[in-house]
Amino acid sequence: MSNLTEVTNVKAKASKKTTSMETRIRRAGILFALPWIIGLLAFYAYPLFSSMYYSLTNYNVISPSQWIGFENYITLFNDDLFWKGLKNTLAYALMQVPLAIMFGVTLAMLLNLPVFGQGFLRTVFFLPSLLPVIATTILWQWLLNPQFGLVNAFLEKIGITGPGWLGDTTWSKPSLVIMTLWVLGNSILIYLAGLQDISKDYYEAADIDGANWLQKTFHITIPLLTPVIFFNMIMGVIHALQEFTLPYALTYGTGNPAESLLFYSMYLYNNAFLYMKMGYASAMAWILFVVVMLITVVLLKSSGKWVFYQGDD
Amino acid sequence: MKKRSSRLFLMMVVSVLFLFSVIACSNKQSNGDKDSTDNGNSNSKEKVEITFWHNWETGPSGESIEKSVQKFNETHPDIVVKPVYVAPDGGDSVSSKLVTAVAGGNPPDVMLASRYGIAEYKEALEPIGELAAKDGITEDNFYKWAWGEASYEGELLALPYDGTARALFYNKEHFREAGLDPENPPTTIEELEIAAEKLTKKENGKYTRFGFIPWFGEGWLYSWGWAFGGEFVDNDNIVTANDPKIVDALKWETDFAEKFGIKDVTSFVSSAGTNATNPFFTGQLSMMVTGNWMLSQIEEYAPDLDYGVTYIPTPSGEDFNTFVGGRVLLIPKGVKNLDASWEFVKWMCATEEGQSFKKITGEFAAMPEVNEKLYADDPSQDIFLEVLPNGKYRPVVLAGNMMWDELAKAPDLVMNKQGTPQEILDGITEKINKEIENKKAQLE
Repeated sequence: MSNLTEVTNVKAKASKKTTSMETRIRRAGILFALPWIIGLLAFYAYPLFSSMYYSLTNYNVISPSQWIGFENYITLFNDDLFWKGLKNTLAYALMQVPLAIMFGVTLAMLLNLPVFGQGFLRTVFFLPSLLPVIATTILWQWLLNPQFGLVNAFLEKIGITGPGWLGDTTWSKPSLVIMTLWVLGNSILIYLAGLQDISKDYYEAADIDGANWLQKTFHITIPLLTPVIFFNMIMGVIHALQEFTLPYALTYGTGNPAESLLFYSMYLYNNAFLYMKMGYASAMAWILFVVVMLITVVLLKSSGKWVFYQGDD
Repeated sequence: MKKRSSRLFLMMVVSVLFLFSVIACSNKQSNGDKDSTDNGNSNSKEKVEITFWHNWETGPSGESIEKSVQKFNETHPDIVVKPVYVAPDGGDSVSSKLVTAVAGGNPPDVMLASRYGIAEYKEALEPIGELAAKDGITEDNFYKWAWGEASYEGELLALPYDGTARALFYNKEHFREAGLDPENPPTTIEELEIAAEKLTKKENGKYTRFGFIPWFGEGWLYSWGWAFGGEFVDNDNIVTANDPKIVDALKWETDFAEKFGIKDVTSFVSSAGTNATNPFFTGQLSMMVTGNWMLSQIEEYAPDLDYGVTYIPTPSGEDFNTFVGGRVLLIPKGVKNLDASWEFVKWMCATEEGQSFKKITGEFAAMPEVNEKLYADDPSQDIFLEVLPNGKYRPVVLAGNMMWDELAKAPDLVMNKQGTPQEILDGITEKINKEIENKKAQLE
């Protein structure tokens, strides 16, 4: 910005000849950024602020909207399905995020071991992430099929009667978590990068001190991986709270069985595009935004206690 | 110093916004000009091109669309219909795309849509009641279910295009095997239960075949509610989903599941395949309620299946009816060539020529006289044709989509012990009526 002020100062003096090279570069820079600025204003800022406005009206896209103040929000707080959706989503996030971190970190550490076929194994674990979500859904629907599914067939072999998985209210959300744990490729990639970022010095020092593998893992690797874990945690929470495609494709939007898979964003979608209650849905979106913000702030505040950056002290 | 830089930034933002609005305005203008000249030209010259949105691209349905349009274009030299496939956004519905297109000022000229639920976006539709009246198209030309479901409180919203009816399909081979008369299928609920029990097979504690599962296929609460003699709205169009007879129907459905073990039944349903792996085709299910479109599917996937079709049983064994759904052709608000659009809609829905293309899909025309001719020599459609005049349609209310979702969930909620049938249906009735009231208040 200080450079910008220089520009204006130069202009104020009205000495065109002295328009320096730097000024022209500035101008060109802004010009180059203009498409982005326009895009941001038109496709982010405008929809963002209009959805805030519409959340205070009973907008249905076609007819003119009427200002109703906070009525949408009040109705929402008395809406059973809103609470059900919120509870389901939070319960799911509470299961999915910690498990995803545990799985991701463990897998990344294993894939970081210098063993034969390391590159091949990394590819294998990344591959599921390349599948479209719908394909993943259909695949797992068959694997978890209570009668003919591979999972239950395997469980039966070892003497366990498998649950109804997606048809059972207690198992439906865990089933979903299992599906998402299968597509961890992207976060594993980030963990791997984080692992390779840890300075070898620490391990060498630990070797000299005679630390064993376990000690190195818990006193060097994991503490120094916390910045990456923290990043993946925040992203994971945001994704989990917005989970939509998987449960929607699985249940065709119904949230069966017994609304146990009715996720927040599914109910939002139904309100917006099925029941023509765009204002109501906008209000839901803003509440979700507040929830995500709150959780993120809490996590951010807590991070000071458990996230360690290399070479800090 | 700081102030100045921020002022510069603000100025930039404003100028960008200004630029934007100028572009937007000029665009609109040029578009408008173009359109008006287009219209002028088409009037003086010959051909008007209209866009027709549909969500059937493949199979017999796609073929019926293609052939209909082809025939129309041949017989109407001054109009060219251009069919455009639009992917449905859920079930049979493309309503959100239509609403967006209308709001954006660029709707298609005609659209094929699920008849059900159009009342909810009626403000996006061109009212065609007057056009229909002018051309002498009245409810006498159509089935009651077709016309009724296409109108909201007496106002015609679109022209009904077709209908799909439901009946009980049963496996004759299984009937013989279980000692039942394959030519004498169950007609009462009691007989249905007895047959279901006889047909069900269990080996080593695991079901290998189910006789019947009430809500499998098209056994919606609507189908059974009507079979039990219930009504989902009263004369004032107030929702009555807690009609005692509908409560009975739901109770019967869920008691049925309880008898065979809810867990086994639900896991069977949730693992059932579709198309070629439909459990009715593979012999895992002996009876199912399904629609007449299943006839062509059986022909395709299980041509050797020895099956029969009969009425959906009722408690008394008489007064059979059927749940009829179907589609309309609608004209969105703000179309450029209303006359041409109407001409196409009229030809598709209200002429024998247009309606006869329904034969390709095996579904029914919305006009009784056309069906009589189309299916005169097809005995497999007899049962359907017989109950069709007595067809029931889902109430046309302002919260129809929500009502569908809620009722579809009801058996599942009862079976998962979220409430008794009475409680669940009371809750739904209250919720839907409140929603309708809210939407009505909004319209005023």
